[in-house]
Amino acid sequence: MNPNPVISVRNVSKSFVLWEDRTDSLKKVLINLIKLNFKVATKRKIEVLEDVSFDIYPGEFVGIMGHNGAGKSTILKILTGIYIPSSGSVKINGTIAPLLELGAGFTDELSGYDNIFLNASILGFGRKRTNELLNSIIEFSELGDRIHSPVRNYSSGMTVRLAFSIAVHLDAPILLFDEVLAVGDVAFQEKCITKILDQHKQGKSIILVTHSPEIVEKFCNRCIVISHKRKIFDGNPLDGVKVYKNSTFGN
Amino acid sequence: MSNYKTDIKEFLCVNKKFLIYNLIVRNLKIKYRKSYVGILWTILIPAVNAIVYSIIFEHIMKVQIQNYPLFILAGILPWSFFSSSITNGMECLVANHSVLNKVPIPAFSFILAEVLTAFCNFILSLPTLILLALIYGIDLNIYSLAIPIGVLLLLLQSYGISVILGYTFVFFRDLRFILSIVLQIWFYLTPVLYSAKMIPPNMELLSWLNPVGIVFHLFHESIGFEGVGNKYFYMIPFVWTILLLIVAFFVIKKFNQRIVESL
Repeated sequence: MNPNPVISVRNVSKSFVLWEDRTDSLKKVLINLIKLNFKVATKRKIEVLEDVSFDIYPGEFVGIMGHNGAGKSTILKILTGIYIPSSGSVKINGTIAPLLELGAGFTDELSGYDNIFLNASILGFGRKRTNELLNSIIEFSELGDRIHSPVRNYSSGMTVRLAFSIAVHLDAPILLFDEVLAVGDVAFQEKCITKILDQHKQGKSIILVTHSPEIVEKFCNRCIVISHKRKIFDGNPLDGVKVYKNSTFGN
Repeated sequence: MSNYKTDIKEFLCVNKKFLIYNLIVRNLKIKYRKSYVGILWTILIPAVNAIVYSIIFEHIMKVQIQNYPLFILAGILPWSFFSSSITNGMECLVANHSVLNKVPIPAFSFILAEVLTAFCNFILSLPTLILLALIYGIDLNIYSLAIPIGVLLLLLQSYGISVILGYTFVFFRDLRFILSIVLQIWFYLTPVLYSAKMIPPNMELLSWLNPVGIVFHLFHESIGFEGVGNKYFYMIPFVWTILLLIVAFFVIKKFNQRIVESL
């Protein structure tokens, strides 16, 4: 009954190799040199995701929940192609708007205005598109004249507003948001949610990582809960929130 | 084959012009922010170097080269482009790790932007060299026409070397210190302060092993200094450019993914 999934994740696992520095003091370095031991670091493998599978269909609004360190952000990074899975496969139909940490790539020393161009091009906008969207971005951010002062002088709320304003203008059929609603005042949060719902109405698929049960219960039509590297729940948001609460308090 | 074509296009960031442009603007703006003299520093530093070197080598060590201050400036300007582009190119991945970790853009686009920033500075400093050449009454010659080719080769070499160094630097931070020593030695092994013609025949290997040497020589020739005898020398930068770009290309192909996870 469903059309083809826009995202198809199959048995994805991800592990990292950590190099632990062993040469934390000059004395140790010298001792190691005398012992002819040139290994400066030891290797340790850590597993961050184990055997995760799910499909996302067009027009779905999926909330991903999980305690800190469960692996939510790793999933998003694998979806956007920043990380490649150690095993398993990811198939994406269409383009993804990578709205991971907002404001990544902002340069403190430059004005908000300059940062719009920089950030937009980092997110993949072209010159023409950026110029077209410029006014709309500035207006959405509600920064007014402050757009011309350096981002260094912005409050954290203002920075997030600007970042969100740029990000939300990306035209992609799949939008990923990583805890973006946690900052900003209530009014702006409301505005962001309205904008996200707007995009959803246009038929886009939304994936939202959040810790807020209210948002998941109110807006999502599906909830995925991640706990200790694995998917432990996938389905109804109301049940998902319960599972999420149990898993976090269980820790 | 067509696959390689798109790979090469990606390697040169053909589809990322707007991003590269914005990164260059950012680099330039940050560099000269709140500085009174601003972009003039680009020419002031090499000019001071040129003055010091010409005092030492012309008046104390009695080097027999005509128009020595001009000779030195013609070498120092491209050298400061080369050294600053590979130094900044090497460090920029680590410096921009917070972006590379969060947005799916290829790491080498930052390196290209860094090299092109240094290149912009270099281009902005050229009018001073031309002015000095006019003051000394130098006419253009056949070698001046080859300068754009030489500069292009130097640019491509800087990109290739920066990619190789930058990707290695992520895993091996000692490289910063090693590079500063190597650059110092490299400077004296390159015909910047002296003419390539002064390299004795039994040290000819030195010219072959130095990717950038002949480009500097070309600068000297273009403002009227004697050429090298061996015409095969002009092949050196071409061979090295191709070699360095091929190595850089495969470094990217092999490590581009691992680099993001190691930052």
